Amino acid sequence: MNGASALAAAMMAEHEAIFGYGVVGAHLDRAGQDTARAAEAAHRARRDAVAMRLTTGSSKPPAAQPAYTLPFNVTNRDSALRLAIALEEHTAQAWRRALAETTGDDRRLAVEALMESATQATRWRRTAGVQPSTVPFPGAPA
Amino acid sequence: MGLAALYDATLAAHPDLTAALSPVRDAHRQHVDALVRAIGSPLTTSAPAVPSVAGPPAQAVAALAAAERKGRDDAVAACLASVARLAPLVGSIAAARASHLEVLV
Repeated sequence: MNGASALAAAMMAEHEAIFGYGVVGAHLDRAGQDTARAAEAAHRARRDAVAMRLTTGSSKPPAAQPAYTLPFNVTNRDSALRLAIALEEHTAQAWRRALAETTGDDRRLAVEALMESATQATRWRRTAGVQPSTVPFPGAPA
Repeated sequence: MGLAALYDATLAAHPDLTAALSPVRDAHRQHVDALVRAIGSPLTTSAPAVPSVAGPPAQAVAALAAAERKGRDDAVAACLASVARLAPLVGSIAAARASHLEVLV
């Protein structure tokens, strides 16, 4: 995997997170919806930044699929929060993988995205009452 | 003083914080172990001034947050300067330190 394909893989994870947050928000209260909206906006901003980086480097940004298969059914607040945590863990994994394949500004983008996903995952774990709310190595393969 | 040792000192002075903060302290220990394994030699750490951990709990937590913020920024810089092999580990450590700030509120 080279830098461009690592960025493209991370961008696909961002597409999936943006789709997933559309499902998450519907099952949360007002405060949870606000958090979900902010998290989704962060993923959109990240996706756009990666798309621009790929285009500048003469690579084609991967398009979003019309829909994604979620890892489990989301039917209530508990499963919505579990999905939100899973979405952030998934993007964290993609960005962590990108670190070894990138240098310079691309690696900076990747490490900032990894930090943001790790931080947002911790916020969701706290909302869900999951203890501990942090993991020692965010983005590391389970 | 490393971050794990700073948490040790803080938890010794404020046992009420143990439940909330011991997972974070343990993460810092795991980071040191993982770095030693990956690099293959002991870490050389500078010894910054030890902040007072004996004040009120809120002050001790604020000192931990300041140390985590500096640690996060140091880890980002190290990740950017790192060889490819170590970048994922060091980046994960930066992300863990960033996430710890959510707990220190």
